[in-house]
Amino acid sequence: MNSNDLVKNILKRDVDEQDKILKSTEVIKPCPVDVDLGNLLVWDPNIIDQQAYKENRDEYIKNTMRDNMQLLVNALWQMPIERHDNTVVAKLPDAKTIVPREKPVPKPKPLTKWQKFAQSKGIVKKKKTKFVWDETKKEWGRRYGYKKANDETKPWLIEVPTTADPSEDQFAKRLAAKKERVAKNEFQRLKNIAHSKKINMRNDGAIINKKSSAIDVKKALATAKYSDASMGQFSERAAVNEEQQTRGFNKKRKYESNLGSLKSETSKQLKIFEQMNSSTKK
Amino acid sequence: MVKLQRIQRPKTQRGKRALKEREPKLIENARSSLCIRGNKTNNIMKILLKDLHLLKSPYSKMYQKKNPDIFPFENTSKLEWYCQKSDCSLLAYVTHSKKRPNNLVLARLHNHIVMDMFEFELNRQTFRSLDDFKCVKFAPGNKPCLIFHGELFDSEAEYKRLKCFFTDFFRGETNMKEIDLNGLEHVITFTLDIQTKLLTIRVFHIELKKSGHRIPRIELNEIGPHLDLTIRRTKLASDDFYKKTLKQPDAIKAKKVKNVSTNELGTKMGRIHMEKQDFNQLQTRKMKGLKRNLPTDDDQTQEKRKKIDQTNKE
Repeated sequence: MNSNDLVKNILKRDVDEQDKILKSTEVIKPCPVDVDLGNLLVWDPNIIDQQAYKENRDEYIKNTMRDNMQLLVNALWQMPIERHDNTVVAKLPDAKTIVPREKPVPKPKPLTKWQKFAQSKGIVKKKKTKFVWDETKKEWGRRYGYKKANDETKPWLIEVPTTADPSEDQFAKRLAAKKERVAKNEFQRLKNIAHSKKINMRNDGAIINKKSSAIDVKKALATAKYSDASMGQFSERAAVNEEQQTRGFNKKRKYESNLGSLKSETSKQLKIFEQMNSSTKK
Repeated sequence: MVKLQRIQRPKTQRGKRALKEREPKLIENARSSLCIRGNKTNNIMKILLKDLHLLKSPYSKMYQKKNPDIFPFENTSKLEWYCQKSDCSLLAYVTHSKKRPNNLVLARLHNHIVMDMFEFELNRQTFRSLDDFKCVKFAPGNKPCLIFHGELFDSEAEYKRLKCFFTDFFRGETNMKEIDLNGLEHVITFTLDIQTKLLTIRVFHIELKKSGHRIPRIELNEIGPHLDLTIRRTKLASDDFYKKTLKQPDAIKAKKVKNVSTNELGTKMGRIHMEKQDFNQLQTRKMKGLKRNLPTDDDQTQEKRKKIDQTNKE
């Protein structure tokens, strides 16, 4: 019996130790705590124990916060883990609480002509190396930019093709071709910008605004009409459908007839009176 | 007459990059706070401002001079202008006067317009700053854990907004996908008592202790500013404005992938729904086998076949 008791005691001690180990990270709360791992945020809806709070506020806060932090860590250690070199890293889920943005949502930029074409054809940009081997200089040079490798505008020798004019300057010809290409690229870029801003651009680069031209005519006609001494009251009609032509810009005041209804006149006058009386801004 | 408007464009690449950083983005930068002093401040408030600046560094800017004629609850235009200049969307403004002693105003902005503003009174007796705690603090720029305690935070609208405000204020970097498990350094806790409406803010350093199994046991040590605040005035954003700020861009939302599934063996299965084919529009011109005068098994091909068989035998 002695040995039996001994075995029982040892087993009990082991079980107690196991419990102690597990209890060290166990936290029991009356109300479940809301953990938002994406923000590393814990929201504890439990009631504050007023007695403990009044007795020793700092101690109470420290203890409750330790419990809440333990719950956060328990949740965090459940997340999938990766190893980056020597550090152990846990993958965080998306944040649950939606927080207001700092700035408004950016408007998506309209695609350029090339981007639309590439999208429709399924063309994907290939990543290019930054440095290229320059055969003549026998060294690595930039693909583009300052002192680029294989710069075709700076060759030490150009073979004159048989079909070319012998007195033509081949070096100058190459430089001129490069300038033209650069100018064309700039023009295409500006065309893209104009298209994205919905500005109508003609082939030679001039900007035409169809809408404004119609408005300008209306404005000009209306201005011409009231620029005489009587503000256009007594001058003849300039165009056939003048009302329509100067819509939105005519400053002719419409007078109502003296023989209209009395009711409408009184209501109008009273309305004006009310507006004058009221203290609120219109 | 065309009105001449001078649009200042950046002259250097560096300037261009700086302006691009300030543009609205899909995934935003961490909110920066601007720490400003009012016309009259006492020593305690200056220390508090410095502590707030250190808590939020490097996402924080401190203006050293005092600024007269700023009354946040009347006119916010000057504060908004400062925030626009330094590209900050959070504000901490301290003053001390006879009418409002030990005054702290915290505000957040959306598109450089003040959204929510909270005015607190700091309890001078119980205030202890970062310097009062002589122990190891946390690395600047570290993302803090946040804990909120108190039923008021969920029951009343004003305190709900306050909870959201504090998460926004102290959150640090957003959109973090991974976190170093040893990198949890500090936790900022907010306790709101229902009776006295007192908001207590404590900052603790996290110690991970051995617990016998995988998950460590947590112990907390107080490190940072020890604040007891009472709310004086608030100015909350209207519901429409607030809803507008909560809008998230469509590009970020997780897109549902349809018609793709994984079966039990782990192979990815997909479903393709075909359109109805118009058999009148089939491409038959480029298929030789469909031609009318097709050479069938006649003499020509038979001879060819005989030749092939002969060469194969050899």
